[in-house]
Amino acid sequence: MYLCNGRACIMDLSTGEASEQELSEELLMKGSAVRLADSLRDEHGDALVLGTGLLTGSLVPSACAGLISSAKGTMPLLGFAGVELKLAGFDFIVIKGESPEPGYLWARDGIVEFVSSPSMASMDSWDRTDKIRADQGDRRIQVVSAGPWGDSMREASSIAVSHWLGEDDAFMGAEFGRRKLVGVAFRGMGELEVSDAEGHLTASLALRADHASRLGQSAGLASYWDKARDSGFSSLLHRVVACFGCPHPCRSFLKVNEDPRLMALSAKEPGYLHFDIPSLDAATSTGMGSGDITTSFMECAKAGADPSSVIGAGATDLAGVRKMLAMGDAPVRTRSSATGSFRAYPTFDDCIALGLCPRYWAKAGLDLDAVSECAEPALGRELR
Amino acid sequence: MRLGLESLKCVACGLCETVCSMNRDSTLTPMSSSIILHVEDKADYFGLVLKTQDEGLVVARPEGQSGEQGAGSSGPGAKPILLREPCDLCGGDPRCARICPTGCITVVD
Repeated sequence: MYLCNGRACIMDLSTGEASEQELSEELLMKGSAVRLADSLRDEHGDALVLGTGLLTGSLVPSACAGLISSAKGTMPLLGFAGVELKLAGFDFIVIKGESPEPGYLWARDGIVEFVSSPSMASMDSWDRTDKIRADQGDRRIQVVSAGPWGDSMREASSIAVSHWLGEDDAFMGAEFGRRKLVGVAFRGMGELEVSDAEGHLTASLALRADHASRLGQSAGLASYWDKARDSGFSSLLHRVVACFGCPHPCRSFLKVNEDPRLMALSAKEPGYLHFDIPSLDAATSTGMGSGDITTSFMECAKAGADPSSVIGAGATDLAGVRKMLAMGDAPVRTRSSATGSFRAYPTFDDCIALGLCPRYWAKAGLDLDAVSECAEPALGRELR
Repeated sequence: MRLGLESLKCVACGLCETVCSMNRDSTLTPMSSSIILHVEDKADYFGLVLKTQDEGLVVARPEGQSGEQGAGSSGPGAKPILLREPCDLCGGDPRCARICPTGCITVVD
């Protein structure tokens, strides 16, 4: 079976027991991770499903995406989360029931276990991520984490993916909170077999070259959001960061707690990785400067609170954001239709179904025939 | 011939460490690669570590490159690069240089 594992893990939080469910090649090759996740949720009843697309982790441009599916909707898992999940040995992880005490799921090497961790209930999402990485001894573990807002099942709670907010247009934090699930961690130490490696590489490079001839060089978020070209934003820019396999990244890291030009490792929390366009639009509309926006987003991410909802509730400056976070609630500001939200891209369904980034492919122009030409050497069969 | 690394051009896409395994097998995995990404994501600090045949480990840090004998792993949980095979330049057409989207990795004669 090429590019996939052929199995899902079923974790019952109420008992802490994990089991495996075989996923046939036929089922996986149908090509929609979204539909398969929905089907697994239906089968296992009120479940939360983390999953990957058929092409996640392949060399098709920007094949970084996984997903989280719940009754609240579907959110993409970008950065390295999707590929690390697949390389951990599962195409899907189905989480059902509610745990009697707080803890996290830890997936690697084809094993998933529930790690009881009551002390994490008092931690913010960044401390949870750092503690899981320290306890398990690997800095590249990906952690999908709810913060205190998710624990308290606030409507505007948002999932942080390895520190950063921006993918959760469905407000999944409360789904984690009600299960006493402080996070899901995974590290991919496995491998994906491909049918014709050189053919896959050659076809993927050809498609990427075609995209590059039209898109030019990425300027990070400024290539996707014009206001990132403003001097206030660009003066704080440290580096541009890609998700796995992305040739035209949309992520720009701004430093506010040390000189953005400093390249050596120094401050532990120097700033924030910006790609959350709906929240940036909400924040800039209040007149906040890039520095205060960055600090606000850091504090929202730690709390697991959607910045666009916090700001939409009336916060117009950093002090207002802090006050809102201290109050502990804000009405949900709909993100799914907001300009620049992942859910709003017309490519969302097709891309998440396959494991591709909807933002990159909206920019490059999604051509499923071209994607098929890249994918088929790897799959050793037609992509349906 | 050797690989040149310009770490400030790196965007941490991970493609180099993923295609390296294709030199030995029809698999995609960063676990057997001779080049690895070192990432401290919260600090936005990242660079590359390359195990070479002649120069030992070449560490391309954003603040400057060095050759050194170090652990050079992605963390104790991952396979340390010192336990991996050194880069053989894919027999003359290094895949990491082919796939690097930013020109961070180049072939130097």
